[in-house]
Amino acid sequence: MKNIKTYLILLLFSLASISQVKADGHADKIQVIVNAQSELSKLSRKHVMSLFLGRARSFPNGKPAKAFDNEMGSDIRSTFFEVLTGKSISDIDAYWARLRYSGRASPPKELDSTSKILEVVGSDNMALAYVRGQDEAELEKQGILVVYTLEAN
Amino acid sequence: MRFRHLQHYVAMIMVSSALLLSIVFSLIAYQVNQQIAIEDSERQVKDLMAAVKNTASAALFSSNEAVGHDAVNGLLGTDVVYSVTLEGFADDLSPGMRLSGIHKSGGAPMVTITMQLESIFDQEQILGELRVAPNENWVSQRTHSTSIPTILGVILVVFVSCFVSMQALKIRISTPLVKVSRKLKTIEADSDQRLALPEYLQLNEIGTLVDGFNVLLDETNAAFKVERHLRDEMQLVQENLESAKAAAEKAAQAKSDFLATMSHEIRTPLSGVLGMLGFALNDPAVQDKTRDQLEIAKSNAKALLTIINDILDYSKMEAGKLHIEVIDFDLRKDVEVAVAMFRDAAEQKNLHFEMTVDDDVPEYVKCDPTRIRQVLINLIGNAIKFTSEGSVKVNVSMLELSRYTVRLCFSVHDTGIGIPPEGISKLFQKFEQADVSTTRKYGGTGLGLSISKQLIEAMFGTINVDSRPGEGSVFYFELPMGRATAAEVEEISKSSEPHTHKLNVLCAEDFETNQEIIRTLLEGMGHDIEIVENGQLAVQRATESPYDIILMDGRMPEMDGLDATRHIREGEWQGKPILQPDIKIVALTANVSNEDRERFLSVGMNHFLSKPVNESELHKIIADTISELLASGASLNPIIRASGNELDTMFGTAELTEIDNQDECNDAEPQRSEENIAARMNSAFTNSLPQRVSELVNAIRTENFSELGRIFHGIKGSAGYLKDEPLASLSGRLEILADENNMPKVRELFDEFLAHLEPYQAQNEGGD
Repeated sequence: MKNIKTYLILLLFSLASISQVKADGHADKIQVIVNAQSELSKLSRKHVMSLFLGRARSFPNGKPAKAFDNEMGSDIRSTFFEVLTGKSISDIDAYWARLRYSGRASPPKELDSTSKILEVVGSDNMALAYVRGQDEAELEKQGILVVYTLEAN
Repeated sequence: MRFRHLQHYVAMIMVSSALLLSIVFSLIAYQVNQQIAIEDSERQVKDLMAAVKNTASAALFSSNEAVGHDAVNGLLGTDVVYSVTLEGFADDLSPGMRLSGIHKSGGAPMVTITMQLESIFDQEQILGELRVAPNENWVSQRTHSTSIPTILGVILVVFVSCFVSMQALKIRISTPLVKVSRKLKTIEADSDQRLALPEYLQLNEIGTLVDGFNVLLDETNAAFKVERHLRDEMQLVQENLESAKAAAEKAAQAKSDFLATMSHEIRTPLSGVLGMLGFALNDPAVQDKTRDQLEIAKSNAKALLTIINDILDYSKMEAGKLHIEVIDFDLRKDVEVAVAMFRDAAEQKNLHFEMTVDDDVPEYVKCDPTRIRQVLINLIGNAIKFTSEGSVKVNVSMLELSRYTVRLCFSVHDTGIGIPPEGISKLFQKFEQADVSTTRKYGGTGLGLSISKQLIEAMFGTINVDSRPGEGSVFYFELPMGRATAAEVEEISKSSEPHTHKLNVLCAEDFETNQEIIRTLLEGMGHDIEIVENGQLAVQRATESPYDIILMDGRMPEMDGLDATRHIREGEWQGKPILQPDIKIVALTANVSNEDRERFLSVGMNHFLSKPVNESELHKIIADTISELLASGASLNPIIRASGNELDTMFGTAELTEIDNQDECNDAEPQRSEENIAARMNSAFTNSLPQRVSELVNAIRTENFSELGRIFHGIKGSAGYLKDEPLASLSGRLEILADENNMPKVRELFDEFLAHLEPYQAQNEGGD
């Protein structure tokens, strides 16, 4: 029953996303971004997932990585994790809750706006975050590189 | 083990089975519970593992050991877990990790449950595994806690069912059996009772057993019936036998009694016949021819008397009344007495007749001289009877001699007709003679030898005969005897020696004849005697003068001997003292039954003398009294012996000697004094008769029975002295009748009594 409910919610969110993508041509893409000085080209989905879920703490080239998350409860965060892992956002939250319970794990720091995210990533070459629907060329100007693109629909 | 009761046995079996079942069920229950506990532990462990799976998975995903520790410790915090191992596999993103822990208490793991941990975000990705072992302690504790109630329950159920079964067995089987066995104990043989069982037990083995017993009871009862029947029959047979035996004994007794009575009754008239013949022969007027005939008649009568005496002897023997004495005596004298009786007869038949006693035969022996003499007389009499010419020889020889005994052989040898061999065997049987012609020719009852044989055998001897017809016979008998010495024999004969001292005698006797006898006897012995007529006078005299001895008749007028004795012993009579209350008193009595004796002795009499008084017994009592008195220091006057002539003069017996005494008396030495006594007695009796008869007639008229009894008693005693047996017995019968107050019978017999007195009255008249 609980599962069915979960699926229903999931279905509702999916419909909402579709309607957003229809309104804006770039809006349906979520881009994983890093500082251009990180010397990275592209990341695999598995690595993206490991970096955002605390399994990996460094980039594939060995340089330390520092992941930043969107605000808890935000639409982009739910969509990002659900599409990336195939799990609901509550599963993700439960996962973090378990780890946080031991007191020694720390989830990525949350930033409440895209401008803040772009500012942090543009200034820190260890930073890693995700944003929705930004123009790659625009981002390159700010010293930000897209390493993984997630199709939201 | 042995049980008195079946129930206990069943109970034992039940309890044992219950125990065994309880143990087995308990073990099974324990096993089952253990299995359940193991499964339970595994399930719980798996549940716990499932609960920590995501945490553990997250720990491995993020390589967070702290979280891993949390998961492991969380598992170890429960008692059901013994050990936990969390292992993360290393890969390109993770170095891997291995965390493990053991529960603080617990046992070795039985199994280990392994769970693979895959990534939360990718089911395909295996991150590591979780291995958990359940705790054995928890299993055993769980097993115990669940088993105890189970086992208790099992035991309860088993015991309850055992108890129920036992009760059922008890009620259904053992109680009926106990009832049956109790009944069995009370059933008596030979009764109609049977054992019974409830219906449900009748068809099984117990039923068969009880049926079998009932059948046995039936058979036993049948056997009892048969046995009872047999017993009754046996008893009947026994009773018949006993009554037959009693009848036979009674018949034998009746025969003996009859013989005795008959002999007695025949003797009475026979004495009359003999007496009359004697009177007739004395009559000088009788012609010679008639005298010869009377002589023949007399000798025949005497022969008849002998026969009757034999029959009397024989019937006494039959009745077992034969008495054998053992006394010391001079053998030669005894044999001589027997032989002397036949000297005349042998001389008349012109036979050579001699007696020899071998020199080595002892002089004195112990045996019964009267019986030996009787047998000798019989044998010698036969020898003379059957011998017409030749000799008759009597011999005594010794066969054996030891210190105290001697065995002698007496033989009588004749040259008579002899006895044929076939006759010898019958010789000693009753009523048998050698042959019938003997009886015809020589007479005789055939009892003599039979009596002799019985006498000899009664003395433990044997009697036999050797004979040849025509040549003669030898009858001989052997007897064992004791040896006596001359001293012993003399001591006995000494008792008849004259008394040394004179006694002063008081005699109480109402009957004149008896007074005369006692007086004659005692005066003959040299004593002073005073006679009174009844007991009262005797007591009176005892207060007046001293006596040395009192002779007391039992039955007297005024006061009888018993009362008189009692008064004397009391020491006082009518205010006067008895001079010698302890004087010796001797009862004189014709009654000799034991009860009478006891009666006499119980009132204080010292001795008794039976009437007719026996001279030697009287002599002995007086002699004893003299010795006793002398020994107690009394002074007595010695007796001065008078010559025989003086005695004659004193007793005035000379004129009486012509009175005919028993002519058949064969005693070798008839006592002179006895003749005297007999003569004086006869005279006294005859003189008193008229008075007695008138007293009797008076008493009959007045029906004074005590007077009658007293007079008959007195006459009985006198007749005894006079050897008038018929008169004595008739008087005796009359005395008894008078005592019984039987007047008709007395009257009936009185005529006969008077007839008996006639000879005496005739004498009386003749004497005048």
